[in-house]
This record gives sequence, C-alpha cells and structure tokens, in this order.
Amino acid sequence: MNEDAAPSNSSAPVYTIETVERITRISRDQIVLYYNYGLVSTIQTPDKSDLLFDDDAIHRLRRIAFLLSEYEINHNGLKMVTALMDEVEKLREEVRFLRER
Amino acid sequence: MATAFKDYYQILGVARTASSDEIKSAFRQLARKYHPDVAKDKKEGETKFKEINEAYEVLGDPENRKKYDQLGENWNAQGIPSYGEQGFPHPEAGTEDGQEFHFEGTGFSDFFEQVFGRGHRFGGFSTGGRTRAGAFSGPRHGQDIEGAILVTLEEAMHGAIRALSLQSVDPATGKAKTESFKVRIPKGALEGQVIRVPGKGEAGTGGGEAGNLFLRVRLASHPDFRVLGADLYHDLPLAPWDAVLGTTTRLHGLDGDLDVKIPPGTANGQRLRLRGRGLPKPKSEERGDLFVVIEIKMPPQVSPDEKDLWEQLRRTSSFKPSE
Repeated sequence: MNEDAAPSNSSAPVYTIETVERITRISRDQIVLYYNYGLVSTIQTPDKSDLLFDDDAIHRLRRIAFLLSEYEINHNGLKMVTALMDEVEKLREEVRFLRER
Repeated sequence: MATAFKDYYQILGVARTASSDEIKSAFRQLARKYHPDVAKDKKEGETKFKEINEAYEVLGDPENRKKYDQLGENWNAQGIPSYGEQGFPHPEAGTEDGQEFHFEGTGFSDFFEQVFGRGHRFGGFSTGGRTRAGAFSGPRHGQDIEGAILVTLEEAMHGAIRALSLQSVDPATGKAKTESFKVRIPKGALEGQVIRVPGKGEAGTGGGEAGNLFLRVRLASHPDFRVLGADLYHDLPLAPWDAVLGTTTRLHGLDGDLDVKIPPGTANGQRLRLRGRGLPKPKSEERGDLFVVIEIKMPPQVSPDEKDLWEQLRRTSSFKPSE
C-alpha cells in the first residue's frame, strides 16, 4: 500500500520533512532551500519545524533531483522548467475541459 | 512484451470518418450504459467503461486521433520512438538497465501506454552512487517509475482502493515475475495529482532501496459531468418554455439526486451554482461547486397546434431582442 505517512485528517498521505528527507534522499537544508525558492510547496506553512508535504511535493523533489543530475540545470533554470511543466499540466486540464463541451 | 492493437473506432462503434460530435455522442451513450454505477454486471461495466474512456481519450482529442490514424494496425512495425528518444525514459518500455515493466489495473491498456502515455510522464530518475561517466559504484537505489492511473469521479468523490499488478522481466535472467499490490486513491484526488507507491519502482542494486512508483491521476471522462479542479459542470438541456417560466429538475449527482430549481427567465449559457456539491478538495474538508450550465434547446419539429401557440406568442409578446 502507498503509505509511510504521518497521520492527517485527509485520506491523502502527509509526510514530515524527516520522512521526505529519507524518501527523496535530499537533505533537509536543500528541501528548505527549494521551498524558499518556491519550487515545492507544503501543505502547512507555519515555521520550518512544522513543514508537512504530500505526494506531489515528493514527486516534485524527485523531479528536481533528476533535472539537476541529468541536465545540470541551475536554480533559476529549475524554477522555469518546473513552472512550465505546471503550466502545461494546467493547460492540458483546461483544454480537456473545453473539448468535452 | 507483445502489445495488441486497440481498435478505438470499433470500441466506440463509430466509423473512421466520424465527426468529433459523433464521437462525443457515441462516448456519452456508451458511458451511460456501462457506467459502473448503472451497469447490470458491475465487473463487465467497469472494464467496458475504462475501455470506452481510453478510446475517447484518443479519438476525442484531435492530436491523439491524428497520431492514432497514422499508426494503423501495423503500428508495431512502424517504429514507435523507442524509450528515451523524446528526452525522458519511458517506464513501460523499460528502464536504463533494460528491465521491462508492465502494469495491470491502472485503467489504461499497454497499447495506450506505449503510444499515448509518454506525454504525461518523465520518470526514470537516476540517483545514488552514479558517477559523471555513467558508471555506478556501491549501493544504487532503484529508479522511480511514473505512470498514469484512470480514476472515476466516483472514486475521486469517495476514495478507493485499487488492485494493481506489476509484471517485470529481468533481462539478465529472462525471468518474468508478477507482483500484486494495492493502491489507495485518496478522497479528493484531482486531475494531475500524484500518488506515490513506495518501493514499487525499479529494484535497487548492491543493497540499495527500490524506487517509487508515481501514478499521475487522470480523471475518467463522465457522461454527465465535466471537471475543472474540484468544480463539476453539468450541461442541462432546457426547453424554451421552461427557461421562461422556470422549473425544477432532478439531477443525478455523484452523491445522490439533487433537485435543481431553474428560476424564471433563465438565459442560455447561464450557470447556476450549487455550492459545495462538487468534488472534495484535496487536503481540506471543503468541496468544490457544481455548476449547472443551461443549454436551451429548440424543438426539432413543431406540430400545427404548437405552431399556433408560437404564432400567438409572437403577436402578443413585446420582446424585441435586436432592439
């Protein structure tokens, strides 16, 4: 089953930064850095110690690791690539919605 | 692994020359018949519903349809771009090390995954112990795999558990193995959302952990509802007199029947908002809204009596829309 998460009210799993660190093999400092850059979002945004993430965030962090290792993209490039990927997904959804009319 | 060709035109029961409206109409008709909630045989209904959805995913999208039409039945011989050619590895074809994968239970056929699936994925992450030269040293974590999973609106509404199986062939030994596992579809799963299944990616080597399987949610097309985020849209055909006089109509919602009050003087294209009757929002207790979009339909033919009434209305009414 797809679970190694912290308890939450939603049925979607929620992970602490320690768990995310273990799953993604990305250091806590790097995760916080990506969060500060706006490359990854949390499901709660109070202070650093309370950062909680979902599957989307884990996927995004793995994608960042992939882009860094395979394409040697810098942080500005990362921001642009991830923003474009998000936009493509959003546009795909809108096109699909409009086409089904 | 050999992949069978899918005749999507035959699945939807339309000619190869069918217009996009004919394809849409055929899909809606079949989707209503085989929707798992209404089909007499639930199991058969579910299989057929997914098959119809896949066919519509291809034929209902002009670009996918064009690509499909160019393939033809000899598609395998025409050389689908092999794994990695479009910049990202293709998980269903295999990983960098040549390990082949094949999923069952995602709702998409192998044919669909192979031809149309890669636009939605970019899996195959290399991590751990890899040197610049491409060689690996020490324990190596398995690569992650990304695939798509077809989720019905009912599953998104209530959450669900789905059984999946992963078949893989180890190129070193040639041995095939099948592993079955369950995936929890969270309540409020939305289009594009990622569901992570730990340890179901590529196996690690030298004591490294297995990779993750990332499943990207594709919401199945529904015969009665369109989806945008957590909001649902229902197109409601209405007779002109009901639009003028107002009426109440019963709508079969995803979580039960709803009586929708159409106020007098409702215009074509008007949206009536039913707050909180959409899909659950992820990470929240709230729900999106349901929009009922009015489509005023004209009667295809009128009887002499009806014509008299329209004539009478024309004489009596002071409404001049062009003024």
